[in-house]
Amino acid sequence: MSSRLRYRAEQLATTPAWSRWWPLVGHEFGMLFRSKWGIALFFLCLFPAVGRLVMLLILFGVVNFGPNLRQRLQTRGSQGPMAQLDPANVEFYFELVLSVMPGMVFVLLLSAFVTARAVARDRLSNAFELYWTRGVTPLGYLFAKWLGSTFAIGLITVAAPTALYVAAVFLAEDWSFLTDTFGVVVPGLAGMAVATGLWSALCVGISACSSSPNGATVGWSMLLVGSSSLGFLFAQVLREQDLQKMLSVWDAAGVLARAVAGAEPGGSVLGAALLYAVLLLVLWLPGWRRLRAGGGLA
Amino acid sequence: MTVVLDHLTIRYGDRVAVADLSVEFPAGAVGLLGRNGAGKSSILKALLGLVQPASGTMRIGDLPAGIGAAELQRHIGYMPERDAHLAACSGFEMVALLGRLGGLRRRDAWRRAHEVLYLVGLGEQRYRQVSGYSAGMRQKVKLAAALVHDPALLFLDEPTNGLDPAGRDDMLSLVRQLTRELGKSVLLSTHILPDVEQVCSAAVVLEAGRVVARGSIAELTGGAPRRWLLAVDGGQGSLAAQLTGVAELVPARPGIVEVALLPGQRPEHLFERLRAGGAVVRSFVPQRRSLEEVFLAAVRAPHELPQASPPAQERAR
Repeated sequence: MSSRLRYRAEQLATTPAWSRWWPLVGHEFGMLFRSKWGIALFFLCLFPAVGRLVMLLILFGVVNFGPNLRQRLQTRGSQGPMAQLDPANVEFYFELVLSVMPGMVFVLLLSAFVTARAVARDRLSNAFELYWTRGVTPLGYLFAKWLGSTFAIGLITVAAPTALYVAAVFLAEDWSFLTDTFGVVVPGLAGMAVATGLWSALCVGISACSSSPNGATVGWSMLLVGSSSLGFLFAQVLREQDLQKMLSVWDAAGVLARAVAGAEPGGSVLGAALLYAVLLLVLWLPGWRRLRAGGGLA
Repeated sequence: MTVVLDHLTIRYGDRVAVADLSVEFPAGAVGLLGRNGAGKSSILKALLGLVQPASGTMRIGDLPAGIGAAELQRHIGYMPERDAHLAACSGFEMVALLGRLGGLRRRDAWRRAHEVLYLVGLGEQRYRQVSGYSAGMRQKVKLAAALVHDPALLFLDEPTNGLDPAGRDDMLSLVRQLTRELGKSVLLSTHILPDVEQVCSAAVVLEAGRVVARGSIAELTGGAPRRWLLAVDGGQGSLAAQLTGVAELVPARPGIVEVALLPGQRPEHLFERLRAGGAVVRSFVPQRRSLEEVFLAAVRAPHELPQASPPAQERAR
């Protein structure tokens, strides 16, 4: 069999210059699945959602692990502090993402080992020269990295809760579950998408400022865990719970997500917005400048 | 595709990298020579639209002036000097992605990625991770990435950097194939002057942001040779006597003399004299200046070296 592969000069249709960054989004999203470690990490991060799915199956009576388990879960789900065990309550989905455990731990795992390395990895392999000479601008590149990373993290923070909600809708006895919960859960999912976008933006910003992928991983982990610890410490010492929401990057995103979802934010929306505005400015501006300089644009 | 720079000045703050440079790079393969800091990279960056010249104009083929960097880069393929690749990508994925970023649709980018990887000799290794490639393979994958969107003009920055002799030969053969068989214009920026002599038809030598020598390789290395190494057998009388009025002789090695033709004399005259004297010519080897000698002479005493080509602005007209 002969191959028809051969180099030839030809006139090829081209895509518009403004859309050149779009393939980069797909590339960044796909980075998660390019190694067996990435794939393993992804499935590990799906564990909480799988747990919730099992809970749904129990709550809706699809599987039966004993006579009292379903009843106990339903009873707890109707009570205040355990409201997150009720699939009709938006907290059932919020808690999966916005809690420290499992939410923060698994988002940290995924983002620190995949997203935080996004730009620093390209710096290490001198990829900027290849990008900048193909019509991609540093700002377009950063935007593409952010969007691709948001999609990747969104798999566990938005797509997994969405899949859970769809499963709940189909497991429910009738469509009244959908009509009763749609107006609450969908804005909730939008709120989680906002939180994911904010975490991803910080993560990419740190990566753009870092010289090495490992440095970016450590920097992002320190920011996320350090700010939460600091917020907790100040809140305990000064007996002001709002401080935690204002100082912790994780909690501040939760406040904003709840505000977008129309739920009780549980903290100062202005303070959280201010924290993110400052952090994004502090990380993205020097990151962008460094990208321009690193690729020979300065 | 010709490239014409007219009174081009490039500054980085107060530092002038290229000063009022006017030069024409003809179609084909042209060497861009110069020491570190001579302005080679600045010119390439300006041509790629990555830096804005302080003054002057640039013209690339028939491309209209003032088109954006993205559109400009659609017609230019750039192979960077440094080792550059996309992490966690196979050769195919890297070239295909860069093709898409260069403006190709996904299907075209995939097809052409296969084609250019076969062209550069990485067909069998195209699904291997680039991070596992040898130095020669990495150079080749960069060349494939520069070619994938089918540009008419290629900027190759030190393409043989870090290659062993066999890899260097492969790379130079590829560059020759690109210019001679595929009709690409190549601007070859390098420190390795024999590479330029092997693949380029012309060269431009820069020093401190100014052109200090330019022209075809033959012109730069002395045009038609005027000196030869001559070895003869037999003949009546001394060789010097036989060649009186035709050439001057300088002993070179035992049995070999260097002959320099006198003005107005041609090699045919020399052969007629030798035949008349009964001498048998054993060897007659032309002596040219190497490009290295030209380069060193140009950068050490730029003002003393004559320009081989007419000024660019005259050519451009």
